[in-house]
Amino acid sequence: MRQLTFSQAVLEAQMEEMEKDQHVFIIGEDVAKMGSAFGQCAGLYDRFGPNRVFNMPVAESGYANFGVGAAMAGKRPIVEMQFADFIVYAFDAVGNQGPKQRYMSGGELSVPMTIRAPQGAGFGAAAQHSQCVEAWFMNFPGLKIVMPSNPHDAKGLLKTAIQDNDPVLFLEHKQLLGMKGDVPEGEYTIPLGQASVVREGKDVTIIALQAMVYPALEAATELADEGIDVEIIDPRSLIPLDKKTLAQSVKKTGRVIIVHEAPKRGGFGGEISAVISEEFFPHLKAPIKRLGAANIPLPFGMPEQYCLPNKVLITECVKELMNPK
Amino acid sequence: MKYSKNELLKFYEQLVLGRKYEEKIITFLGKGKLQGFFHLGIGQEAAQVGVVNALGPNDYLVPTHRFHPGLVNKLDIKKLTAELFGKSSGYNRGKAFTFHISSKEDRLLPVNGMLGAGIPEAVGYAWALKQDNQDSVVVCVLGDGTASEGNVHEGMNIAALLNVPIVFYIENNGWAISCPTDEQTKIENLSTRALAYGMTGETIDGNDVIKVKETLERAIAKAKNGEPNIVEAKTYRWRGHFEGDPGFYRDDEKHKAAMKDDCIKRMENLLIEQGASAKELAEIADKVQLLIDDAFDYAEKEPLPTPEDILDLDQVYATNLGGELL
Repeated sequence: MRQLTFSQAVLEAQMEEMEKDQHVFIIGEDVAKMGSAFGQCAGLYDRFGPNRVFNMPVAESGYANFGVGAAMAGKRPIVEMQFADFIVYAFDAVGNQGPKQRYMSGGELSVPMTIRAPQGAGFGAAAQHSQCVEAWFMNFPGLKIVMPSNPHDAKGLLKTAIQDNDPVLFLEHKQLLGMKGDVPEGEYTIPLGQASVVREGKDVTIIALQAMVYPALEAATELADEGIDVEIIDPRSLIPLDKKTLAQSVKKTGRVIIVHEAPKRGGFGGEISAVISEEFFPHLKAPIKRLGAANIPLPFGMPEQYCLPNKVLITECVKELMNPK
Repeated sequence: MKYSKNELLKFYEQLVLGRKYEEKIITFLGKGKLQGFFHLGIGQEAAQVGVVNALGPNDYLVPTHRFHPGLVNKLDIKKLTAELFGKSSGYNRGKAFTFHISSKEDRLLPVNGMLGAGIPEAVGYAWALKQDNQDSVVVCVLGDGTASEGNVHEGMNIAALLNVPIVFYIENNGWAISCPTDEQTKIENLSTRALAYGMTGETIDGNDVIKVKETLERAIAKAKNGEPNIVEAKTYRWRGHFEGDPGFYRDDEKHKAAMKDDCIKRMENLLIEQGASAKELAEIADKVQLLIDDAFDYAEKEPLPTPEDILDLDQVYATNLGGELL
């Protein structure tokens, strides 16, 4: 099958949706001639012109709110944050404005806006260019949150996000943007709220978010040699959350590890853990385990790896669940 | 005089409607019959009525939380009052209050509870109208307090860069809650900030309804021509920041002196010069009062939203994937 990078998949999804619907437009910092910091918009300016792809001043709050306004007027903005960390400037627009306009208007208005933001570590870029931000937005009713882990899912989910009539926070992962993967020719979409079973297994369920799917897969391969059969689930979207697929897996294995790159404290792992405890407790054979980043600001350079979950920690965690002391 | 007596009487009626509507709100707050925080614009009627009269049929308005006198002259009074009571027959099914009220049909864009955020939103809306070749302008109202928000700077800069058809109308009532203007900014006129964005700006007497209307008409024409601009109208807040605010931070003498410049008294004087009688003016006040009383009676009796309506996910999400997935 055809191979594309994650970044190319994002680009292709945007291009297809822009071809189809003239109301789709892209704004952000350096999205026009530069084609975004990681190439997600390469060539779109030449193809669609300055009314459909244009640069904004360095004003994340201003241009994200601009997107909210344009969306209320019937446009379908794609608002790019150059780094997900910068979204704190646009926190009000992304969490408090876009997602609430529909309810506050009694259902009359809607905000079909996609906010794209590359997040995550891997570049050693220190504490303000390396964070995973999904948990910051979990408390905003009206928002949807998507975080794909591979080029195939990125394309299908981004197309769905752009077509969706609500604000969708679409989180890319910087370390994955250059990763190649199978992407079929032609159009396809993936619905929000459908988890993907990345690997089937019967002993332990690892619910892995985005980049953490890969160390989880490496751990699973090693553990298979020791006779431990690991199932890996990638939720793909956090709001809506596919509880059904999680439930099926928990019922099968009875053992759950949740792993994400964001700090463990207050991370999405806590929410999944609570859902499983509340609804599927009788199926559990062991306490739920969570792995996340250390609760410190990420350091500069190579030492960031001392703070993040990895294959070794995941393997140890699985063994602990299988052989409780 | 450029305006006929009848035209002036119409302005008078609108100003009195604005004043008496808010006085009615005060009465109902006193009876404990209204919830939420009310920010009243008593004293600022001319600054609001002037704007409402300047809007063309294709133009849009973004009001503030302190804009009842303007709203009651633009919207259906019963539906507006029902919204203030949180009733399901209100403009936004009782979910907006004046903090978030909007109406597509009336080209009224949402009031924002987050001061400043509505400015770049209005810019985005106006940009979209221009893209769709609509012959429309957005008039975005903000207060002097809001003018200090970073979003206002970001929004104005973007508007100027993209030649967006928008008028930023600063209704400067002299107070940001307890802070007078000279505690908010070192500059005399907020409209001078327009220079920083490559726009034009002007400051006018906000208690002169005709001046406000005519200035806004020119500003709207300019914006339609791709020149966003700022109009600052200077007026004065008679009441506390919210109803219930004792306002002990104000100097009594200065406060009383400022309230002497009453936009309604000014219009009365003008009308009497033009030959209107005291009886004519009293009849208008009575007529307006009946309209208001009727709207409050109606709104009070209307039903509250049901729990099902409040928890209706279709009003949260437009693309509703259903059930507990959300």
